[in-house]
Amino acid sequence: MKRGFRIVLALSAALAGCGGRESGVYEIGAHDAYVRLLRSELPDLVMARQCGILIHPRPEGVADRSVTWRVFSSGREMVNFTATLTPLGAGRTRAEVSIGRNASGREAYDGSLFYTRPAFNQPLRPAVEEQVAALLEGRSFDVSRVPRGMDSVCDVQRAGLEEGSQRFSVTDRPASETQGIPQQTPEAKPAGGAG
Amino acid sequence: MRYGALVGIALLGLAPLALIAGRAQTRDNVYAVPIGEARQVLARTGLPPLVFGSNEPDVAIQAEGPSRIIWILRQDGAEMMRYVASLSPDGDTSTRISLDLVGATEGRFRNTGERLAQNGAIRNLYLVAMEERIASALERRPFDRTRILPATMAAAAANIGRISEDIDRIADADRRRQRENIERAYRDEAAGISR
Repeated sequence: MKRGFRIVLALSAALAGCGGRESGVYEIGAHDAYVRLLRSELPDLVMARQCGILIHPRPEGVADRSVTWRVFSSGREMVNFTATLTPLGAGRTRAEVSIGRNASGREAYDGSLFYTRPAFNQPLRPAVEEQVAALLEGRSFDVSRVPRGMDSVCDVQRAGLEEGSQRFSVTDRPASETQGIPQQTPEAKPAGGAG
Repeated sequence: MRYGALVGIALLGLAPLALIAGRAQTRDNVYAVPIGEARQVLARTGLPPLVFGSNEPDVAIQAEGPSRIIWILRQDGAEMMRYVASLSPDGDTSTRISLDLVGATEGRFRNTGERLAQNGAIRNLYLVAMEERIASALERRPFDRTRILPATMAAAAANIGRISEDIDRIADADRRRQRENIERAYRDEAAGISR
């Protein structure tokens, strides 16, 4: 009887382990989480998700409450996103990611928008969430946890950068203007992403 | 890794062909061409296509006496191996040709002979391909790629581990080069170097 009880206990523990921790909740205090995020210019996210125009995330903080990264290219703000921190008792913090919105209120880089000169491959949100999680868990950015980017303009631009053959700039005019190629109709013009 | 696994799966179905090809050891062939004409044709016949990949070696063709044609394969001036064709009359109008492949025993490629001896499938592929090159020249027809297919599959199956490693190595080098190009672009931008 006693042995059976132990087995049940062990199984329960194993099952609890399978469930994992609550999504977006980290074993770190709010202050430490804030410091860790504020210090990062997100090099792994940039390397994994950039699109060929050079981008620079600049972190700005509201002490122990949130960190916002404003992402610039050639001096122009392309997009911003924020990790908002909520303390959940000693040594535990919830971090919630929000992405800036475009002029029509849509979340920027949500996977369905067209950008003439994209800064990030879409969808952006899961990549930012993975970057924040990696920082707060003290591990490397894991590209396998992020869905594959699906922005073909991004792929073309990025190939130029990777090959060292062509570096695009947010100020470059699209081929539709310079080479007579038909332009795609933008679904909605996102903030900082219309060109 | 991704590509290696796919190639591996594809080749599993070809293993029986590999066994058949591995047993083909006959190196004597008779062609309906008088020996004088065969000798003249072979003295102008180059290497078979495909089997040496994009790194095709230089070849020098030597006629030794009336009954031997030798193709010496060199890379950067160093001998790798040589094909030796021995010709003998088979009646008045035909020629028997025996083909051998001999690896270099000195110089930079002095281990080639040993490696060919250890890797029968590769040696067989080189011989089958050259035999087809000779046959197509003497029979005045184009090189028939399908005739070397079983030997190609056998060689690929026998070397799948190495092929997979090669693909992984190439992919790693590619990723490293791309990352370096991206990092260089950021350094150039920081240094004020324009595109």
